[in-house]
Amino acid sequence: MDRTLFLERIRRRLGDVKPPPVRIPHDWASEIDDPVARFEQELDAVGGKVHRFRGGPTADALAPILQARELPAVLIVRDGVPEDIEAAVTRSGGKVRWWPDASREEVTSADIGVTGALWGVAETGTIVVSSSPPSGRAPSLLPPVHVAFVASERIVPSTAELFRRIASMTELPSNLVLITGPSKSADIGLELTLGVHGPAELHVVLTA
Amino acid sequence: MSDTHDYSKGFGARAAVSLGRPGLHDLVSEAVDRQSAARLQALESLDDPEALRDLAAEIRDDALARLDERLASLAANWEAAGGTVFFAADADEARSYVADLATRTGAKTAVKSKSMVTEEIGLNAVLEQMGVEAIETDLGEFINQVAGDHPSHIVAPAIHHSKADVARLFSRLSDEPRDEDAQALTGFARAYLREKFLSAELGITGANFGISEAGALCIVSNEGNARMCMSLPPVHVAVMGMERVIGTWDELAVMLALLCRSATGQKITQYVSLLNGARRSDEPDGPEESHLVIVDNGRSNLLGTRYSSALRCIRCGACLNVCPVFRQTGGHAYDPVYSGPIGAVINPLMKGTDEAGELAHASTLCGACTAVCPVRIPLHDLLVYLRQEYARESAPATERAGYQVWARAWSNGRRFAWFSRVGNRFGRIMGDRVGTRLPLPLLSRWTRPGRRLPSFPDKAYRDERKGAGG
Repeated sequence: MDRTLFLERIRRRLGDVKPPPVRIPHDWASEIDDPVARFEQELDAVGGKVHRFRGGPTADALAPILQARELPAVLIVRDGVPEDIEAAVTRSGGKVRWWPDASREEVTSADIGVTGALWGVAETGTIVVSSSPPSGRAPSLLPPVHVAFVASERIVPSTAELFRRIASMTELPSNLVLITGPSKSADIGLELTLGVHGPAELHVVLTA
Repeated sequence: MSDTHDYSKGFGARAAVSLGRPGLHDLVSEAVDRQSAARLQALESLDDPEALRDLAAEIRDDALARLDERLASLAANWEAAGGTVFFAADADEARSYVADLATRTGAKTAVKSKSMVTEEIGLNAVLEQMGVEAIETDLGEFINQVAGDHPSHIVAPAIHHSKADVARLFSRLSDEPRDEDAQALTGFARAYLREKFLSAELGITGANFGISEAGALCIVSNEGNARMCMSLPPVHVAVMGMERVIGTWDELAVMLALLCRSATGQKITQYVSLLNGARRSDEPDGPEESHLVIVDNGRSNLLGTRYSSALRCIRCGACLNVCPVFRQTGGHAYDPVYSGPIGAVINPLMKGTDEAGELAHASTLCGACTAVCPVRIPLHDLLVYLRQEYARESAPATERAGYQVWARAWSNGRRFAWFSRVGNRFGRIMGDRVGTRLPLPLLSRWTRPGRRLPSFPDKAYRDERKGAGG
């Protein structure tokens, strides 16, 4: 239907008296004392794993994740992750595939996807990944394991604060995704199952 | 088992089918109890959930009062970000738009994430007719599709299937025996649907909210299938009911906090996707085209009427989970799309049909739905209004006459006293014979065999009080 007609049809049904515009109080979300600790606690509660990483070779942080698998193919975004990551993956017995240079086949068959994240949210244990370079969409979605590096200082207390940050972004990407734990469902017999379509494992490496 | 409910028949007939289905009541009641308990627990994590519900109702009312402006700016901002917008007055226009997209892009396979509005407009049937395989990818919807079935719950569409049902259905689909192991069955669905995601030319999703100031959509999912549908195929189309728009990102934070808690008892769903128009030129992946279809399809019937608060609905399903009628019948007794108290209100109003009377009576008016609604829709009041309209316009003359006599009698003290005395005497004389031996045409459904009247006391209450000096 023509847009003007569609909207006109609505306008005719609405009265001229409008309620006053809504004011959203700034402080409706609960206060949080220690955002990093809370982030860890919340993500743990929904089945994600937090690794605190305070410097040193990245291999130390990745080793426990990589060594659980044999020769994993690791899809890594080019920026937003530690510089020594290639060495770290190779030393732990993994094969590196760079995003977005990898072929479609290399992307769809990767065992682990490694990305950065724009923010973390303490209240919910959420991380935020952008479709803008370097991340894109596939590395945090297609592989059965997702590893995200997040700087502790990027953890905001609440979703209310997160959306204020998003509102003040100068340019939005086409897709921001808030990720909170592994993919899950309870559609079969009300039983919790993991890795339905997205990753079955989410590891967040908190960097200082 | 496929859905054998006959939607050309009334609620009573469909409820009878549901009630006769072995095991259904247990499946439904376990699911709704679990979701209700999860909701209550999740609300505790908010400082002041009641104040937040007030705020959410305000946010929704504000958006509805300015719906034309909000939609105009949502559309303009989506387009400014490279997306395309189509306004669909009805189901036919919405279906045709998506069908044309499928034709233009030469789509053979379309992957869909769970969307009630695409169920409402009957999109799958049209795509199938033109030879496009439309695949439901939400695990519950996928189970329903394999079963040839409709969703029976707004949020958890396959609660009417047991784990054994799913094992049987997936065995049939794959020609291989499947164990009753939920994780293994999920693994099968993951592998089966992954191929579809990677080969589909068209991705279809709904939208939980449109954010007008940003020209953005918010789409929640737990499985990640919505992310697949909006990221992998070269063309993505989001179909959104026109009332689902709000103003700002700040408002979204409030709505999201309540939607997730009310629907599944989560503080937030595993994935919350925020979309803004089309893939940017520097972005490494994503669809080449992003379409937004904004659907009216009878929603404007409610605008500016005493039912307009029903358009606040954010489809969390909390009212289904607490409804004593839904618990007994499951969703299929109501409608193939929207069930429970909210379905009983919006189905007849959006469709403009006269089944309002019947669905509005599929309620005990206990008010549990109103008590849990995150956006404070006065659901049981709306059901009473619908009953009033039914009584005025469609009720049989005998029923109306009966109620008129009743109203006259009971609105006057002396007449009421006379009636209660006569009624008491009549009841004592007839006892159990009322309704069974004595035909009472108007009251037949209340007095049929299997239902017993309580025995009457020796005196009417008023006479007894008088005798006691009260």
